[in-house]
Amino acid sequence: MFAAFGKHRYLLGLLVIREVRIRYARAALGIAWALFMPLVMMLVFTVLNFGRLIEDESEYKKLPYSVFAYCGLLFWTHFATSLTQGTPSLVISGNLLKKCAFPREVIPLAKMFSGLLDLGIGAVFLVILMWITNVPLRISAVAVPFILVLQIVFTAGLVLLLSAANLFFRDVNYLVQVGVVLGMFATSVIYPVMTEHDTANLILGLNPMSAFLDAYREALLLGRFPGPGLWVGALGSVAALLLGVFAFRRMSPRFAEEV
Amino acid sequence: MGDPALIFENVVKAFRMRNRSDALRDAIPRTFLKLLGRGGPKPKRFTALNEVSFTAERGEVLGVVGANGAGKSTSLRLAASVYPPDSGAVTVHGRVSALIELSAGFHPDLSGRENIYLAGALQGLGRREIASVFDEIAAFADIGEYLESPVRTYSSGMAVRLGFAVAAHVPAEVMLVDEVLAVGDMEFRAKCLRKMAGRREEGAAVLFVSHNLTIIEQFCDRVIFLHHGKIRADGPARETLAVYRKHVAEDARVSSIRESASPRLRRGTGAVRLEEVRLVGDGEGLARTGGELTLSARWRAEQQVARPVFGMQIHSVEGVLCARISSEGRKGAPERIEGEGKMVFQIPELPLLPGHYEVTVSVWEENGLVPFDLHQCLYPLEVTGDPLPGTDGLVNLEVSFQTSP
Repeated sequence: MFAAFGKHRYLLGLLVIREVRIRYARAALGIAWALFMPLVMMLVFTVLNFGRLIEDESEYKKLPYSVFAYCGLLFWTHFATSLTQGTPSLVISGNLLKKCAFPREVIPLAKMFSGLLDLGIGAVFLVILMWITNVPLRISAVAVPFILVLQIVFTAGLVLLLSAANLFFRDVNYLVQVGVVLGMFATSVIYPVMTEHDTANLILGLNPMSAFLDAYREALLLGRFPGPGLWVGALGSVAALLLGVFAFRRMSPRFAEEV
Repeated sequence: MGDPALIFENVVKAFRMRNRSDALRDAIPRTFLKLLGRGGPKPKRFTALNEVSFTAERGEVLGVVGANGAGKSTSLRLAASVYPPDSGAVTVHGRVSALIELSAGFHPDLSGRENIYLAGALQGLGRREIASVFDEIAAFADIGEYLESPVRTYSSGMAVRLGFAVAAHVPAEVMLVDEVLAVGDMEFRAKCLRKMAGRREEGAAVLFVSHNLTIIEQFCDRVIFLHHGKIRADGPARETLAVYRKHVAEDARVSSIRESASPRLRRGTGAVRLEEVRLVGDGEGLARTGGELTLSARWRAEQQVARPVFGMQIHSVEGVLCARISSEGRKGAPERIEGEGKMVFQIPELPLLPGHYEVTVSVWEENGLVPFDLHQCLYPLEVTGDPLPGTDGLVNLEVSFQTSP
């Protein structure tokens, strides 16, 4: 997919920059807003003491809950924002689709990549938060970029699939809005997902986003390299990307007439 | 010459007619019906192009004329690979640039400079390629110091000029031009047309869509006439345009006889009704600059009406009011009417320059406040003629010119 961009990498780059520029262009606080969403959520969940949802025997219990929650919210926010903004992006750019024959992937992917700046700024804050709360940053943190690549691949696959589907059925956009909210509670974002039913646990355990978030926490907060759980995430990433690219390729020639 | 730069071979393109089929609510039952082997009602399809074949040679301007919905824009989009044909083949040798309104891709919060790079990249240019023509683009758009300001501060004309400027500088073997004349001021249109002619000199094939037959005649080597998705005529500009003009004239007669007009465009109390409206110059709906034009209609008044005012307006297709005339104060203005009769506006020498116009006919109560029957812009008028070179605008002025040593 990325090889096919070739000369259009420049277009993708420009679109990413455009997204970043316009997102905060006319906001007085500018880029500071990037910190806002995960930070506020973290404060809310900390104040409401969601930390009690973590079982006593869990090794996360040793961590300050604010760091636990913020680490999950930070990476989850990128995923959620990519989906909610990426899904309607092709419909919103409909006018452009009808006029130019550029590769359509760049529109939803630019939405996703532009969120990485927010993520980067948020990550700096995470390190500060860890320093304040005395959580040491260890060598295992070098695994984070690899986990992030897997998460990006997973997100890209979903965004491609959903943005294309949304052109044909506008309902997809609403489903995604609901799905992202539900997804947050089915993923280990603000608590480790655990129910009293083994089957349910097994299904929830197949959630690639949970695998990524657990891996980030292991690498960043617990100071050890991610365990085999990450393989679930890696498989999910590859499957999502294949599905997304395949569906997108199949549907994209018809985009201009479905807008 | 070599191969033609653009080849359409038996191209068919149909579109699904939309009626809420983009909601899952309808798609889910339809899918189930399909699985059960009952197709359900098939979505209606509209065939925009039906077995269309033509070629555009290098160094040639190929004009495309036809009514709205005849398939002109569909042809351009197929040539630009915006979507694929359903069957047949569209072959392009080389790169395509589309001189279409590109400001759609602009973002208001980005500067003119940033938007030039973005629009160029959307047309497939890399950074270096854009940089090498950047100064030309800026000069062509003629936006001066606004280049560094956000596009939201631009006048709409400036934004459109910038969009065209980018498209005009994409180096390409096939150039698509869609109705440039509908936007921009006179000077800018002339600049676009010169650019188009320049491209032809460089050996590009130009596909040129316009409603302005004078410009088509002036610039095109060859013209195709599309009618309901099929090619009605293909040949030298003069020959195709003759076929097209004849067709328009016949079409106008058919449409003006039809009494029921779309309600949005026809309103009034109905105390007096206008029927059988005819607009005749050289033919129905067709007139020549400096020639005669007659607008006639039958009126029908159920009851006696005192001092009705008959009116006529001519608008350009861009919506500019060229002339409003009424029976008020004229010799022949009726004191009262009842029953049936006929009204005629006669213009012995039509001072309009060639182009498309729309004619309104109306009858009002005596103060001109309430329309009895108003046919707003219902009658298309095509004005042709051979004005002197260098003449442009809407009105043909009687001019004498002299120069002294």
